[in-house]
Amino acid sequence: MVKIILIVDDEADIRDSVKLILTKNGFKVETAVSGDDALKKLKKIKPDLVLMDIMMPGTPTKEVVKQIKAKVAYLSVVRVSEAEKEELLKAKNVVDFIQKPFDIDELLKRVKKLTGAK
Amino acid sequence: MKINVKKELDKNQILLLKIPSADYSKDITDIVKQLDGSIGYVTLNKTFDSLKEEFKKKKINTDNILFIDAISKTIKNAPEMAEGSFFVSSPAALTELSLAIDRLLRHNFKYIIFDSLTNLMIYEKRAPVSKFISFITNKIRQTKTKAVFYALNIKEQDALIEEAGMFADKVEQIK
Repeated sequence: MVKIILIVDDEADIRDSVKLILTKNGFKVETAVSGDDALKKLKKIKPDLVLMDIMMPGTPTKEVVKQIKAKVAYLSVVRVSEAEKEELLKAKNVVDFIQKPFDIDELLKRVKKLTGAK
Repeated sequence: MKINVKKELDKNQILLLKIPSADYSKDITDIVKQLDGSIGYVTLNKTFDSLKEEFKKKKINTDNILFIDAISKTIKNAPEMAEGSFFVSSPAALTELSLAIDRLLRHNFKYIIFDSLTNLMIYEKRAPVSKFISFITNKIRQTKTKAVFYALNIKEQDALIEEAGMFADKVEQIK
């Protein structure tokens, strides 16, 4: 079954490049430009994984994530300490923390693992 | 890093440093190492905890550094202040940020490091960011505090960096 990924990032470059790679690898990809936009889209789709930028304009990501039932992996340009990373991963639906800039192959590997895709 | 920031700040009150993304983490710790005396460190891209962790690894004493952290509150529940840091609600809260910086200036910190101008552009358009830079640099000029503004070398933000350069005494490209 095709896995659905929702990419939430205010940077068009990130949305476009990640979408391209994931689509080429058999994922169905939707995108959103902010947390608020993601919440609207999530009324219509049920993604297997949400890749979400941790810092975006609009409603803070920590508030948005609380309203999401799907699994979330943070994409972060922000540097956090190891303890803070562990704390963020304690939220029940937060499953990964991926530091930007990321290696696209590594990202793909992690998305496949988190969604159980082959 | 070839530039002697301390020496540049002896001659100039406000310095704008253009930093290549690749060397960014190393450069920012090298700069702090060069400065002695009290430092106010405004962070818009790393949490207070992560900076402390990073500086500790590089054996930088943070006792003389007071942080203004505009990141922690956006990702976790952070208090208004902790030992060594004030927390601002987000990098988009420019008024709150101005007030926190004003507080540092009133306490005569020897240096202020602003890390970084380019991060402001994630949340705000160029016009309010330029107005903010103008306001902050005017405030700094009313004091003896020396300031270093970082800007990442990002092509899309050349216009902002150029505009910010007009408020600085000197713009240096770190190689």
